[in-house]
Amino acid sequence: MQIAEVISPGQLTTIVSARDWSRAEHGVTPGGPFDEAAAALANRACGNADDAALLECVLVGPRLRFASRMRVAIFDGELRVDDVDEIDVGRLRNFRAWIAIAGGVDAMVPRYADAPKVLRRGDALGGRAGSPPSVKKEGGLPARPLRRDVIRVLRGPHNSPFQTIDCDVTPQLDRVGIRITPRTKLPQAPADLPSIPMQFGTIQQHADGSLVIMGPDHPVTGGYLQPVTVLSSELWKLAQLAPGERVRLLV
Amino acid sequence: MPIAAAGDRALLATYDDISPAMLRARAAAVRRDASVVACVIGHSSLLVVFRDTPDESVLSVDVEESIDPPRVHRIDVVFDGPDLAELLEHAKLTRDEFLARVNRLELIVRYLGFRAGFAYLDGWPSDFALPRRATSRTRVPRGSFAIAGEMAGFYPVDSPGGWNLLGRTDAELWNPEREPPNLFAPGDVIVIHANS
Repeated sequence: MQIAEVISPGQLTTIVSARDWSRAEHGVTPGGPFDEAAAALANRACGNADDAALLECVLVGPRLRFASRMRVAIFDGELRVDDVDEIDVGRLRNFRAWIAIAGGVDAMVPRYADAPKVLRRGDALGGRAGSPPSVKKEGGLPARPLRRDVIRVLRGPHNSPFQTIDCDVTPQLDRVGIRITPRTKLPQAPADLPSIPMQFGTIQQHADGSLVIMGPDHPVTGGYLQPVTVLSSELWKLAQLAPGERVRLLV
Repeated sequence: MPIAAAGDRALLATYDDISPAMLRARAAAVRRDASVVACVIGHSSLLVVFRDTPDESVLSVDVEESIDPPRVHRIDVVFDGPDLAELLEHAKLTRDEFLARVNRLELIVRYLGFRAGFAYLDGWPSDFALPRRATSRTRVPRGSFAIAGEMAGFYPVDSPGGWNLLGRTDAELWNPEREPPNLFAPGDVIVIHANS
């Protein structure tokens, strides 16, 4: 049933569903939120399952008008929870934020869709208008350092002499991948290797010396060198990489 | 076979000279382990994604090819693609000679990737190989049959593409609402029927 109307879509608001690896076994990206723990926290605050579908926003959040008063949780560095008729999120504090709505939201695309739905003005958001817990629990995520510009990576799956390196984040970034430019020259990468599967956090080294960090909507397989992979506990930092920032990949 | 860490939650196993059918069977066997979230097939490799700490022993499982037998698909292709003329000139064949060679040609799915479950196919004759095009087309129509090097493939949806377009099929290669969405799976055999 319709639970909300999109009055303004924000900069780029996507309906993200749970990461689904069976999709990868059929050749499409597994998807999932850029920050699983943040999405889970927002979902829980609305009484949803951790992996319920929710909204992922970039830079500027959406304005939504609800059909009836709804419990909404927004994680933008920290969690805010409220019962509202309308939200107008505006400019985010961080680069990405997540909005959960009680009962979850409909994905609006089929299970094996190539890409998730991006909100447009006038869209009708579907959902189940679930009943949230009576107590509102707010707060942040435990054990997250303030420092997010150093990202720990493990060598592999390919062999290479890759060392700790400082990089600049380019404007070419989205849910598929984040292109970063190393500040020092990398050893030459081979151009065309037998394709191997990839994950969120796989880092590709291209022949032109640039690096691309795979995002949640990464292609399933690729033939570029994969010298290092981001540690699973560090993936949340990728969600907040913004153009112009400096990042250190720590081996 | 070499096993490498792929982050802290996955392993990549690489195989020397493994058939698509065996790769498919190995993946099916590995998926049965309770500690495994997913097993994705690469050209000659398997990525095993674990719930928790990776455990190499899941890759030592016994495998029989019959565990998940591949299917055979008959696919009708009309060979009228914009790059066919270039191939005929390169291979020094007439159109009829080419059609006679490709009719009943068998191709095997090695792995999936690119977009919408694009299946990378082995078995295209090496004397018919053409390198990838220097510039990609912005739009390759859904159903296009294309080659690059010694690999072949069908574009399952409209998409950009840099392969050489030789023909097209009406077969429903990809349906995101179907279970499974992909007509082809790794290890499957595709028998080309060349329609003029």
